[in-house]
Amino acid sequence: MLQLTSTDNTEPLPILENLFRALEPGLPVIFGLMGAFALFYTIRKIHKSQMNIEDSITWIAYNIMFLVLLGLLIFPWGRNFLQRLGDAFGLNSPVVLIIALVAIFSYLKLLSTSVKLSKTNEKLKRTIQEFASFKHDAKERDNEVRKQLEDDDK
Amino acid sequence: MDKLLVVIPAYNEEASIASTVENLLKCEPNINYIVVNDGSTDNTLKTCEENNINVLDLPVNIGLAGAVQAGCLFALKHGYTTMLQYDGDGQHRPEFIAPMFKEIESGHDIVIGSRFVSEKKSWSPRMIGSRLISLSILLFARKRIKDPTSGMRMITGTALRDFAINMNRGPEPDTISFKIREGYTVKEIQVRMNERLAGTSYLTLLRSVKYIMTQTISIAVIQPFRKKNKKRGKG
Repeated sequence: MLQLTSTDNTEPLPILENLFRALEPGLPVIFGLMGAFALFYTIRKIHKSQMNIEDSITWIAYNIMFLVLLGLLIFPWGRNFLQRLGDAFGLNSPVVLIIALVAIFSYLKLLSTSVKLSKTNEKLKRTIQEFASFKHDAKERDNEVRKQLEDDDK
Repeated sequence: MDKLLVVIPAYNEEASIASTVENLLKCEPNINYIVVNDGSTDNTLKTCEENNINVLDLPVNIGLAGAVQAGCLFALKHGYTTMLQYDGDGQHRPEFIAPMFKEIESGHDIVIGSRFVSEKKSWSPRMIGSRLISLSILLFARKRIKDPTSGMRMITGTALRDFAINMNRGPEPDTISFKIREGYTVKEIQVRMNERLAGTSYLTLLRSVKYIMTQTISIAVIQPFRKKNKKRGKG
């Protein structure tokens, strides 16, 4: 694995962790803003009745969990807790742990959304086909009735 | 009751749909009804056609909420002012339709056929869930609903219109709670229900837990943010 040297030259660190440590002061702030915006956006969509309730529950729970985790970074005991939790999974930084959680959730959500979308597309396709067939049959019946009436007139 | 339409959502109910409709018509010969076949994969549609049952056939399965909404829309389009959601598995009993309709005539917007107005609720896991939902409605909509999960619901007027055309109006306790918050009146009357005639319930243990959690969170957390259209008058 590619290694970089830490700032005090005492222990080598993997390149990704070095990168995250360099970005660490800014990342939680950016993530916090993103989480707050997503929470606000979800609530707005609920208010406007533009979001399914089950989906909105998932996103509100996710955003609150995300903001709570970021909030824990402010307190030394919280940071310590995340640090120990991260250590258990072989992650040496609390921010890396939060990023990993976001990535896992996003990945799973994307996967389930993709499956749901496939099913919805299939249903839509079937409905359109059924509708087209129904329209065709109705037109044919109309023509038959019209022809019958014309024949009767003659 | 000529302005009432009984909506019977049916998904794979080939074994029970004919007897459900037969029992309904035996008790209420002049009632208007429609079976909404929710894209069943068994012979539900064929059974309906063979028995001359009125059926609205959905080309794909869209779930209970979508099927009931299709029934509400059908009711509106055909001039009905009141709709009753009625199970296709034989659990609901037709003798309670007239007493429920009487409550609608006396001015209520939603009437629930409840198993627990005068009867006691047990402490089975499912009923504990039902109590949790009742408690959420009591706390957040300020109304005691003793049987929030009953599927036998009669809806009329602007409430029916709202169910038919708006999003997030599934036939579930959270919608009842939301309608109460909007100023609609809900009345429960005591009914008795049968065991299912056939098939298995959609609600397995895991689904029941998910259902109860979703309903409780929807009532307690989501509802305060939903835009309310206060009831203006009967339409």
